[in-house]
Amino acid sequence: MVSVRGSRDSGAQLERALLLLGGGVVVIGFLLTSLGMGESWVRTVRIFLVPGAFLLASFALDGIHSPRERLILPMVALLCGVGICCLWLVDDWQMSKQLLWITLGAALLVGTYHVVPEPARLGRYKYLCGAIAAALIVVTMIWGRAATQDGPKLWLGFGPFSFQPAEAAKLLMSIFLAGFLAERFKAQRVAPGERSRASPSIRYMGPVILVVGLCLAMFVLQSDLGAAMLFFGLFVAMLYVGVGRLQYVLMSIALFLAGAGLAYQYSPKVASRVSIWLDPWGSGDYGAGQIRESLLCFGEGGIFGTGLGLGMVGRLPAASTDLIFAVIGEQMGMLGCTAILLLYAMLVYRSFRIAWRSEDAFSSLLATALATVLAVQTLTIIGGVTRLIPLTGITLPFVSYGGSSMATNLVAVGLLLAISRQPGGSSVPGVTDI
Amino acid sequence: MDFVLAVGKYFFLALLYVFVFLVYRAILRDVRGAATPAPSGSRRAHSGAPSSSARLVVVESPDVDRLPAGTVLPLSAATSVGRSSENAIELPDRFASAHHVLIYLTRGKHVLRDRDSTNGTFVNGTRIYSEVVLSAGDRLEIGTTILEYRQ
Repeated sequence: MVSVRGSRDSGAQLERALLLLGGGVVVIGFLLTSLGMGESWVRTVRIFLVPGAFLLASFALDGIHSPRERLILPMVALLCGVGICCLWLVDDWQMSKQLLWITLGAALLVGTYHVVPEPARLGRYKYLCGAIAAALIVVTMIWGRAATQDGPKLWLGFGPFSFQPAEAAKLLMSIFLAGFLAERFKAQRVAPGERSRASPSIRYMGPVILVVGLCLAMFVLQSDLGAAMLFFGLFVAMLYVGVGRLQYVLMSIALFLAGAGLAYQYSPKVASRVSIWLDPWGSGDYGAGQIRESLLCFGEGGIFGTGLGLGMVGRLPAASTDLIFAVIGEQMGMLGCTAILLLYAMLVYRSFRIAWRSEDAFSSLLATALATVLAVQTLTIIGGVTRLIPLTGITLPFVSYGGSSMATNLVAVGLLLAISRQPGGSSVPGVTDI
Repeated sequence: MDFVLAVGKYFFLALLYVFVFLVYRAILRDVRGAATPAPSGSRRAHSGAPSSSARLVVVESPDVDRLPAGTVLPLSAATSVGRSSENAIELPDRFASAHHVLIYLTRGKHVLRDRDSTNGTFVNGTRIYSEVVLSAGDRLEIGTTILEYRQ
């Protein structure tokens, strides 16, 4: 009997080396931005907050626990840093606030990691989480604030403070879906070699359909199409992974197509989004200018970009949130965009890897949910901005401006890392130390 | 100044790709690493090969019908033990917690982790509050069940 001691393994060294390199990239990027904008270099000192916060987080995450995932943190740190560089040109004040949000978010990440020693136990609070998620969304719809006169009500405010409940709701919803499906999945599982006789009844899914349906209805009433897409995508992916039956997925997709058709017929907003998407240059609809400017930004950037701090993003509407990828496209060019996409792809891959190496059903499903949210969100907004699909407003994780979004995403990373720490998730020697 | 900005632009992109490449290489090594033996540093020279024959043997059980003494329970990379049927090893023992312990393999050793069980876990008579590395012949007391760890 020997007690386990904290390990100073190659994984920790790799993580820190990558964090330092990524930090270097971010600092150089920020310096270039300040040069490009003609700002004093003194103002660039604060960028050290970003790599500093993540490096500190890396140390704070290493206690006496088992090995954990090592590649996600450096990638997230780099994305946050690149986001800050691109944000500066758009809005100086927002960039300063975002710096603080990243620092706070890194602290929340570490906090989540340590507060949740065994993620499997979060599953006990599944109904609570589902109820809070639904309540948040309903409350926002009733008392929420909107950015513009008739825009969707997305913010819940208390005096000068406001936050976006949909961001917190996506995390709570992930816990609810994972917990619920982990339990049902057990109940429905059939012995190996035996085919289930009874087809899984829809009534098993009652609570899920109730909560998800309620949220979707609220989003649709609010015309918050981005959030509706995200929740629906999450729901379908979880159904497929948790229940493992294609018929549910096909049913959901049929439902989606029917809903989309109805929305196109009866919602002027959806119809205008689609017509803008089909023909942004000819469309006179409100909002067509947004996608036109976005496409021009990508064109302006070309292969290598205009250089950091040298874009013309002033004319872009919602440049710091929904259209941030167009800002990246202009300043960093196609090559920069590709690098960012590669980072997201690897981030999603590592998140799914945590899911399939996790030992218990709930943790595995929760990691799947978090990875799905990340993937759906990234693809929805990047696809929208590049006119691959109709544009729906949603944040680009870790890059877009927004405190709620940044905090929630970093908490999600903390949860993922906590799940990866589980022995089943990461204890094959030599392999997971990487 | 324009020169610095022009060079800086390419330098920044190049550095970005160096980062992407290094992460990609680490992923690739990780994927391939599954097939190659673990790198063993001098500090862990003593770590033997992870034995696939490691197992728990039931010494005493409160329910001899469902879990007779002498039953051999093989251990995998991570094995959960407890009263709940969600565990890889389900103990018919009402003094065991639903999720009592987890036994996992790390660096060729099996490590036992107590999952905040109500009645505790005892290894060779000592209560375990966090984790211990198991060695052959250790006696594990979980509730009223006694198991022996063998390699």
